Formats: sequence, C-alpha cells, structure tokens
Amino acid sequence: MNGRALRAVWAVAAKDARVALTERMSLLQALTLPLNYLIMMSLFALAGGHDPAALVMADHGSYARQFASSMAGARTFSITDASAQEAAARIRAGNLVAAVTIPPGFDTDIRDHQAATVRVVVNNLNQDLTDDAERGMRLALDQFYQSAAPGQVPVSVSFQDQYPGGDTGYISFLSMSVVVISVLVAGLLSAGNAAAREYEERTMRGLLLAPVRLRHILVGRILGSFLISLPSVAIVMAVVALLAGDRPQHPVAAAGTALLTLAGSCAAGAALGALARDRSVVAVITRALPVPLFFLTGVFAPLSYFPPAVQWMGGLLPVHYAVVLTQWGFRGLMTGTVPLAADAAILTAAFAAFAAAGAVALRWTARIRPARRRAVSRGR
Amino acid sequence: MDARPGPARRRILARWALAALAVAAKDLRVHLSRPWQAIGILLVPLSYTLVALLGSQAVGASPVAVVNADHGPAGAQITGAIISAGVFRLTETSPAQASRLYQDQQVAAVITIPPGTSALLARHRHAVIDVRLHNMDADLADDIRRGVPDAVIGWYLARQPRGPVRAVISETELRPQDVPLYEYSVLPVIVLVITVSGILVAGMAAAREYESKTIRGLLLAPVPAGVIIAGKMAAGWAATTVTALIVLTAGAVLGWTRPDGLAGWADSVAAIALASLFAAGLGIAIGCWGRRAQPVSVGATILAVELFALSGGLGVIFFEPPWLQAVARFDPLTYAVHALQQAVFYSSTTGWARDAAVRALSAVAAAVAGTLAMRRRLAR
Repeated sequence: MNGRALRAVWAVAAKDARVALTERMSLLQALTLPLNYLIMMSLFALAGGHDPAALVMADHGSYARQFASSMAGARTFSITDASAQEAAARIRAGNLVAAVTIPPGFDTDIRDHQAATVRVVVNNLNQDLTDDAERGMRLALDQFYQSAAPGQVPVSVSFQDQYPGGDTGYISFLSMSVVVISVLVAGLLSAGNAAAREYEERTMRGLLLAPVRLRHILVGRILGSFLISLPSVAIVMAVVALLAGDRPQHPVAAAGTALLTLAGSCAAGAALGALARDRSVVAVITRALPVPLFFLTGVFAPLSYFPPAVQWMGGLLPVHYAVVLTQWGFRGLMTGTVPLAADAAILTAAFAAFAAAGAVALRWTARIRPARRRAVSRGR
Repeated sequence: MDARPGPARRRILARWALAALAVAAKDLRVHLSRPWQAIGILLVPLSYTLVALLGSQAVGASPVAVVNADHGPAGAQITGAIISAGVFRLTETSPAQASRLYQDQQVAAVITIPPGTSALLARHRHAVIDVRLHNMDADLADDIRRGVPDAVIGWYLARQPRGPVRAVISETELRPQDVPLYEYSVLPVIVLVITVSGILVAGMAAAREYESKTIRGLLLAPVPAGVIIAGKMAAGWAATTVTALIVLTAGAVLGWTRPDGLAGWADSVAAIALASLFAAGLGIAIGCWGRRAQPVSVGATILAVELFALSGGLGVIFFEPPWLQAVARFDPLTYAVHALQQAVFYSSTTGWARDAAVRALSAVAAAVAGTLAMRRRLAR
C-alpha cells in the first residue's frame, strides 16, 4: 500500500469516526446493548441462585438444630426462620419456594430411634423449582445423617476439582462472554451504520467516484469502525473486570481476542451495511441474527455439554472460538475441543472471510453504476 | 337532567373518532409495508427464548460419565440411583473411555464407583465414590456436588435401613401440577413480544411523522393532539394485541400455554390487551420525545429487555433478592407477567384487580406523556 492509498484509507476512517461521534444515539446503543446483556445474564444467574425457604422450628433440640444447619449447608436455600403462621402466609403469597417444618418431638423421636418426619410444603410454580427444592431437602437429609450419625450412611462422595483455585462464580463465568458480545455488537453496529449511512444520505455515489480503489474504502471503513468501537469495548472490559471480578490471567490473549473479534465484526458490519443500505435494517439484523446465534456458542457452559445439534451449529460460528479464547484469557479455563492455536486461526480466517465478503458487497454496489465507473476510469 | 351530549357535540365526537381511525389505519398500513419491522419484533423475543431454553438446559442435566468398577449388587444399585436421580445425562463407560471424554470436555464429571464397593458394604465397612469434576463455573459444579450425594441418599433410603437415626421428609405440593420450565418461560416471552411490538409500532409511527416532517400537517388538522395520539396508540395496540394473540394461540396449539376454558381465555386476552395498551403508550411517548427512529429502536432493544428482565422474565421475581423485588414493583411488566401466569397456568384471579389497575394507569400515564411531547412541539 503506497502513501496515497494510506491517505485514502485514513481519510475514510477519519470521516467515518467523525460522523459516528455526532450520532450520540448510536454510540449509546453500542455501549448499552452489551451492558444490557451483562445485566440480563446477571439476573439469569441470580434467578438460578438460592431458593427462598422458611424454616419453622417447632423443636429446638440439638438434632433439630443440626437439621437446620444441614439445610443451610445444602447449597440450595436462602433460609429465614418463621412461625408456622408466617410461613403459611408467605407461601400463600408466593414468596417462598418451600416452607419446612421441624415438628415438635423431633429430637425425642430421633433419640427413641423412631421415624422423625420433616414436613415440607413446596410451591411448585414450575418443574425446575420443584426439583431444586426436592434435591435440596434430600441433600440436607444426607448432611443431617452425616452429622447426627456419622457412618450410618455407608457410602460417601469424594470430589476432586479440575481447577484447584476454586470455582468461577456464575456471574463471572457469564460475564466473560459479555465481552465477546459487546465486541460483536459494537463492530457490527458501527461499521454497518457507517456503510448504510452512505446509501441513506446518498454520499455513496461521491465515494465511488473518488479516484481510490474500492478495497481502500473498505479498509478505511473497517479501520474507522474499529477505532470508534474501541472505547465501548474497553468500558465493557473494565466493567467486567471491576464489577464481575474477571481479572485477565492472560491479558495479551484476552486483549488480542477482543481486538481480533472486533476486526472481524467490523468487516462483517461493513458487508452487512453495504447490502442492507438502511440503518434500521442493520439494527434489526444485528440484534435479530448474531445475538440469538451468540447464545449457541458456549456462553452458559462448554459447547460440548450441549446436544449434538447445538454443538454442530455452535461449531460453525466464529464467535464460539472467540468465547473459548476469552474464557482462557480471563480465567485460564479450557472450554474448547480444539487447541487454542486452532481457535485463534479460525478467528483469523473468519476475519479474512468477512473482509472478503465486505469487498464483494462493495464491488457489487459499485457495479450497479458501471457507466459512472467507466467515466471515472476514462477521466483518470 | 339529560346527561347525553347534544347533536353538535356528538358530531364533533364522531369526527374525532373518524380522525383517530384514519390515523390508526394509515399507521397500520405503513407498519404492514415494513416486513423487517415485523421480523424484528418476533426475533428479539426469540433470542430471549433461546437464552431461557439454552440457559435452563445448561443449568439442568449436565453430561456425566459413570464408571462402575464394582461388580457386585451395590455398584449396580448406586449406578441405578444416579441414573434415576434425573440430574445428569449419563454415559456408563470404562475408565479409559471416561478419561478420554473428560479430557475432550465431553463430560463435566467422571463418577467412579471403586472396585470392591459391594464387598466393603457387605462387611459393614465404609465405601467412597470418587468424582472428578470440571469446576469451571460454580453453578455447574454445584449441580454435580449436590446431585451425587442426592443419588447416594436416595439409594440409602430406598434400602429402608435400620440405623440409630431415622429421619424422613414428607412433601406436600401447593398446586395440583407442575409446569415444565420451558412452558413457564413462554409467558414472559409473550409479554416481551408485546413490549417490543408496542414500542416499535407505535413509537415508529410517531417518530416517522417527525422525521418525514409530516407532523406539521397532522398538527394543523382540526382535531386535538390527543385524538392523533389516540389514533396512533390504537394502531400500536391493535398490531401488538394481534401479534401477541397469535403467539399465545401458537403456544396453545403446541400445548404449552393453554388457558383453562373460556374464562381462562377471556382473562388471557384481557391481560394481553391491557399490556399492549401500556406498550403502545410507551412507544408513543418515546417516539414523540425522541422524534427519530433511533431512540425508538434503542427503546425496543434495551428498555423493553430491561423491563422484561426486571419483571422476572428469566426467573420468578418473587424469589429474587429483596432489592430486585423492590425495583420490580415499579415495572408494569411484572403485573402483566403475573396476570398472564394466573390466567394461563393456575386458573386463578389472585391479584387480578391490582394487575389490571397498574397496567391501565401505566398506559394512561404513557399516553399523557406522549400527548405532552406532541403539545410541546405544537407550542414551538
């Protein structure tokens, strides 16, 4: 690329960046949409957290207290003590998943080797909550047996963790993928809007008549969108690092993945904008297609844990490889099924493919006015 | 005294009604001529359905390998208990194959019942089950840490053991039937369809008048601004109600969202109609205040999703942390979701009056905000 080409590339990039800065609503959307996903995923994680349960202690003996602490250790319930009337009122009002009653005489029954029954009323709003409450109660029972009569249950379970440093919290785990979706949305929206705007405002004709090659216009567009998207990506990464506690273990890999994904999404956005030629269509397609597909890429758990059809679809999407690399970059988690170098190579190939698609879309746009192009060529 | 309006007053009211109808018919025609808008309305909720379905699948049955190295009855019984616990998608396999599956990320854990377990138990000795676990996120890891002991205690209690401690759990369910999670997730998605559609259809109808500068002509018409607002709201309300009813009917055909009898259908239609009125009012307010398509698009993608998530779209709001419940009280969608759930799943009128009043008041408030925005323009 010679100096003239570089100047052309920079002129297109600077122009796109300047115009984008005047569109506050687009900037707001590019920034808030990923944060929106962070909030939504956090709410999803909170919804899957501990179930609210009321515990009615009609017996305060040592066995009853042991059962209460077993419930607290069952990793299922958020427990509040209540009287029988309060518990009944709260479960009727729909504020509890379960009301658990340790009956009077619980300790006496246990000491007399009689069956002691803990009563549970489950608010079976849906199957998932019911299953959760039932499993939680059985786990509490298991822990109660272990503490009240060690060795009575003749089988125990020993766990060996793959990551000895501890589990990654669910919100932190989901947040890493939010970085990828923020990059995806920011790139698609900024490049897509920049390209579509040229058609809406009829400035594309002027651009096509300029004595520069189409590929320089495309590179300039990708570069401009890339630069204008960087702050929003940085803000999302900072939010994820500071609020969700995802400090990158491999900062170069995490940043490199974000930049490569951003370049790819800018290239895809440039192609999309040239084909759609309407910013509202770009906005609709951006949120309607890549975002749903994003959820097929291993956001909630490694893709290989999903049914084969989902695995197959996810494997076709470059974003999956970005998610895998990001999870490794931030937390050192190996969630992919191919080596990390292959993930990076696939992501690079996707960028090249999207850039080629952008070039084809731009060339196709240029070909619809061949007379003007020929006139320009003759003049040159 | 005759309270009926006089003939002149009736003529004016009829003229206003005709004007509102004309505005509504024009807006509906414009909406129907924009297929991308209709696709966008359905695809946004579809992406959240994917979030809910894939999310629940991810936090549901994890893939796990079981190695039963014991050749006695206890190993087979414990394996059976793990299978019947319904927590895992199990692959019963050899140690070597299990290791391969674990290394290739095909399973989240390997459960090994060691050789000689039956012999140990026959001699009243203690046996330990080993679990190797990919603890990459806390939610997935906790599912396994709860699931295996749950299966073990299930196996132990099924043997009707005779030990010093005999504690059991007696469970009562509050409702006659459980609703599967995916069915439970459909109703909030219908409310999301309503919100996105209401904001987009009514909001775009208002914003487009400003963008194409036809608002001047509209405001010069010899009818009050409230009549124009009413017409635009009617268009948004009609399009939204019809779209939501189509989704509800599709759910009923699939057997997911089938209201109980005529009363259930009437309740559901009323709930949808009122929610649509609120969404259309909100759209008008955003369109009139923003005066461009972009704020409407942002409102439909970001505001609608936030309101949806806060209303318990991804869980049950009454089981969320108290601070979130406090915020959700100010979200009209909370009452829309509640009203629909009561009508469709539980054939109950609990909170009907409160839900209807909140949505009606919210719709009126939104319409007043829209009228004020339009009046402001008129004053300028």
